[in-house]
Amino acid sequence: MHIHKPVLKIGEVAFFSLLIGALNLIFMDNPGFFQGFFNPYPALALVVSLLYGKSYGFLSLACSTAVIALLLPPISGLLHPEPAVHYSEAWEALGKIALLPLGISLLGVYLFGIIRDSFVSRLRKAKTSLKTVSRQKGQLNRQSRALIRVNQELEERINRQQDSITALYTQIQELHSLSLNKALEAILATVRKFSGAQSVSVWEYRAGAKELLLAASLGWEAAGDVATVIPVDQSIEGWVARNNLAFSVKMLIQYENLRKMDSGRNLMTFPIAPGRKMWGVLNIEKMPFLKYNLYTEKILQLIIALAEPALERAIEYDALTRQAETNPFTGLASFSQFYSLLQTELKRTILQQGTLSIIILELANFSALVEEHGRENAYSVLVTMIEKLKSLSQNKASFFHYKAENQLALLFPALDYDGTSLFCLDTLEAINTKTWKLNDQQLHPELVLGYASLGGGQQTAEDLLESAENLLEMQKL
Amino acid sequence: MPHSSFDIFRRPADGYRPSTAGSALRALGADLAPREIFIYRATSAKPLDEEPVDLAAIERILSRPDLDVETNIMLINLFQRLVKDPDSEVALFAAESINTIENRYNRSIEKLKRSISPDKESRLARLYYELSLLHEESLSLKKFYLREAFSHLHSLEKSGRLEKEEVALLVHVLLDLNLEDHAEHSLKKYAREEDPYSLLLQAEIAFRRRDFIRVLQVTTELSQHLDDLDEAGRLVLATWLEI
Repeated sequence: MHIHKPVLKIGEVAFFSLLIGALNLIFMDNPGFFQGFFNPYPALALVVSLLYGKSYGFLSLACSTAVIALLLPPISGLLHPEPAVHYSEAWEALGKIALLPLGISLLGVYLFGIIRDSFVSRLRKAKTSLKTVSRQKGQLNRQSRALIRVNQELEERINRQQDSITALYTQIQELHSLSLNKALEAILATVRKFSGAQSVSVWEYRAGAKELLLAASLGWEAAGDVATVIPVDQSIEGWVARNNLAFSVKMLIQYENLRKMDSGRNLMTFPIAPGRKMWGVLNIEKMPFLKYNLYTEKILQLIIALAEPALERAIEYDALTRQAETNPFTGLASFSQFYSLLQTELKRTILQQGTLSIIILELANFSALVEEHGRENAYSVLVTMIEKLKSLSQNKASFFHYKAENQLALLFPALDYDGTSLFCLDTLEAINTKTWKLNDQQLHPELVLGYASLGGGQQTAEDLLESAENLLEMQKL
Repeated sequence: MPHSSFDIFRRPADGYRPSTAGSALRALGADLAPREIFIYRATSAKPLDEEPVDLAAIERILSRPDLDVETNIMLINLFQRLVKDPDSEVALFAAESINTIENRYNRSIEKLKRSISPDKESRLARLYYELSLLHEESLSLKKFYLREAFSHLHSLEKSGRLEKEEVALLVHVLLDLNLEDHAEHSLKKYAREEDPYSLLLQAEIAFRRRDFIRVLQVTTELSQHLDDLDEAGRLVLATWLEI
């Protein structure tokens, strides 16, 4: 059964007043406990006013007064008939002694009530503010959980993003390998990534033979009837190469001459002209319909424009090394090719007022490695080292063999003296921190470096080589 | 010197250095790292397949069991590249990861086959189609999964329960199987008139057939539904109608 709180409190106050009254019957010679040091009636009122407020305190006093004045005299008369005391006399006697304690009690109840009200008010405020804080904390927790989820989702979206600008930058870095095949592979991979093309190819333009030769392809079906040479005159690829214009398949609707040349191979075809000289075309044979749009067209033009400088270098390097002898173990060109390319690069760099550096690397314990593990294994250490350095240089440096078989030369365009010394430090760190193993035996490659940069007194290939060699010799000491 | 957000780089603390946005957020909550670390980490996420590949990040993403198909496709492409890595541990990790993704699909398929879910056939078709997308490099596997997807869509077709999404899936499955005529027939049979998405599918079929005049016709029709088109649809219109 639910009892309303005020009723319960009134009941409690009345009960305790009656209880004290009952106790008072034992001490009938001291009605109202006015004689003595301690009086439970006002004490009860004070406690009640502290616990329940001043109204209940006053009520307690009223109950106590009623008990003392109205209940105690008749009950006392019943219990102790002799000597008979008239009520009015009893009340008069009580009135004389109770007035002061009653006044003090009223004041005490009032003061205790005020103190209690002040505490209650403070408590209520604290409770309200705690509720607000708790509600806000709950809201913040919900928001925080949602934001963590959003953060995770956004992170995943970035993680799975394949056509981001940063991805494009990384892909373009791949082009700087100086290997034409690798550069073309990187272009095709980039095109596939950004256009979603399922089938894409690069064709080399041979103006003299009036034909286009397949240079690289991606996504071609093995079973397909594949032509690797296309005539320049009767093909869209040829039209693109001859006119240095991009082709998009919707142009077939508009132009009769293109319709005649259409072989069903071309969706988008772009000219590749590094150094403003027509080299070939990029052709997309198959791509998703939704990816065939102006945005993709622009992106592909952007990729080709970004790739052209690296492609130009790779084409030059390819032309230079095509006929040259390469090391059978490392696949690198010899010192004479290095020297020839250095001279070409120097001329260009001086003309463009750029920077250029060369680095000579020597594996000092190469002979010992050959003796212990054989020539092929010893060269495999050099190959691993080259791969490491290619990655460290972000494919920007070109690698050659130098004068001795344990020496390599790096041609590093757009790098000054400070940059070169920093790169050499990084190289030494990378080589020395790697665990090298050959036939399950741990190795300790002893790498010595010498370098030189264009500038100051060094303006010719001889100057640079001499300076780098001097530094290399000094390192050995 | 006044406090700067870049102090975390200038004066790196000796204590805990969170390496992911999630751990940075937890560290921030526990007062173990400044908020700049979290901001930096959260805004420095990069595509997973970007070189140099971050194997720890890949492992973290792979550990989430509910990856969407785009992420799975990207991961599979990445792992197929990493399988050829000269470092045998990396190659092994890549091979195991490919298995993990495929097993997740296989488990889902097996679970669905045992279930009595009303959309069982539709979900199975979608899972098989996703598997075909994961095997872009292996033509025979791709075709096998496409045929599996088709068989489940065909069951739906027979029971007359092909909805808009399933029709689109059916068209894509048939197009990937180089069955353009069949795709067009299915689209005509089930597509609703004047539905921009159906028009887009019609244009796609015409594009695959190299019938560019038809593509132009359909996109002209599609231009009347400009407001109902999403970004990809608008790009199609912009390309073909140059609007």
